[in-house]
Amino acid sequence: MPLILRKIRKAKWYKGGGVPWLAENDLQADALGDLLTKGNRLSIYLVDDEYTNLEQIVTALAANCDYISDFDFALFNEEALQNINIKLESTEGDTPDATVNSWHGDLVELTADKVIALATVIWTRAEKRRFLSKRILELVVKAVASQQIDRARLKKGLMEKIDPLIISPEAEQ
Amino acid sequence: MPNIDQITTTLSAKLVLILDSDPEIISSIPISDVKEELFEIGIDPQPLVGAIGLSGQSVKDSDLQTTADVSWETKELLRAANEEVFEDGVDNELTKGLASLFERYNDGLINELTYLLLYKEINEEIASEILRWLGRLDDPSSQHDRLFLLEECLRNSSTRIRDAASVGLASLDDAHAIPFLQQAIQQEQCVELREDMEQVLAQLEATRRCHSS
Repeated sequence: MPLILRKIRKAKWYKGGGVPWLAENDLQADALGDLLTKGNRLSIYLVDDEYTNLEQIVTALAANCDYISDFDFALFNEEALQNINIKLESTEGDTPDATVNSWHGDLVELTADKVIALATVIWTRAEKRRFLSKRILELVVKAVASQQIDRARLKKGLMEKIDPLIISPEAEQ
Repeated sequence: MPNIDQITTTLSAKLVLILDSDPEIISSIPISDVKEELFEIGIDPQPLVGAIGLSGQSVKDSDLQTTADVSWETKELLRAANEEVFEDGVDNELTKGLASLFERYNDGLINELTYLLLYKEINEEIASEILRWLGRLDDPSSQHDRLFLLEECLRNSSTRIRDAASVGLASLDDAHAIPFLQQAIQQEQCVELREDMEQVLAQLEATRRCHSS
């Protein structure tokens, strides 16, 4: 069964994270800011259970940004969605990597209760990981050089950062 | 007409400038606690008027005006940022505003942010966003000051601010931060943050090995 990937900011999801007034088993409300819905839908990507496409997805999402940054995300089993009655609909993604776009989906028909249930799943059961910006830069440069990422779809600021670092495959040989 | 709070802020920022420019004073102050040291040498960091007199430097009106301007504009920017939602890798009005202020005021902005982050209470979400921006700012001339501020913020009481400082240090990728991170890791109570800091430390140690080989 695939895993669900959702971009977050890890520090909002730390357990016992040094917020003086927060009880040990409480999640701070700011974490819900990582689950802002649009049209009661939430964008996610599907990672296979061997993680073979994880780097490619993270690279494509990072390449869709305005600038190179660290990338935090939560990964949890798709089965957890069934337990909280959240529907998953396969939809086309919007990254500069066409393959990654095919791994995109939307969590649909979300209610406030379901978003909170989802937050609880992420907080208690998800694996939360971070790729630091230095690694993200390396991944994006490599993906653009190999044309896995469509360079023309990069934002201007990102393109200016990436271009000087790209060594074309011809030059490497 | 600036109010008392603005004047205090202005003078405080000016003190930071003076301390920065006077090696004798700055070298005598442990990086760990500027405020404590000021008390030790008989200066109350709150009013600060006396401190400027003690520094033996005259403060030009134009300098004070610039400091007042950057102070006021930074506060306005931070006030507007209260309504913003931040996402990694995505531009926002706060960081666009900071970039614009940096173009105009350069070190003046860094000094103002240093003062605000170390001595004033700022919403931790906004403070985190500022620290991330400081880390990725491409400006070698202010690297030392930014490094200092990020290292200091590793000791902040907020886990989110400590995390943002650590992420900012990862972006700066300067091995100078290694002992500060090691100390922060030793003292960190939040297991997840400690692991994130260890990831940053591993990157900086790899950078140091790379530079020394």
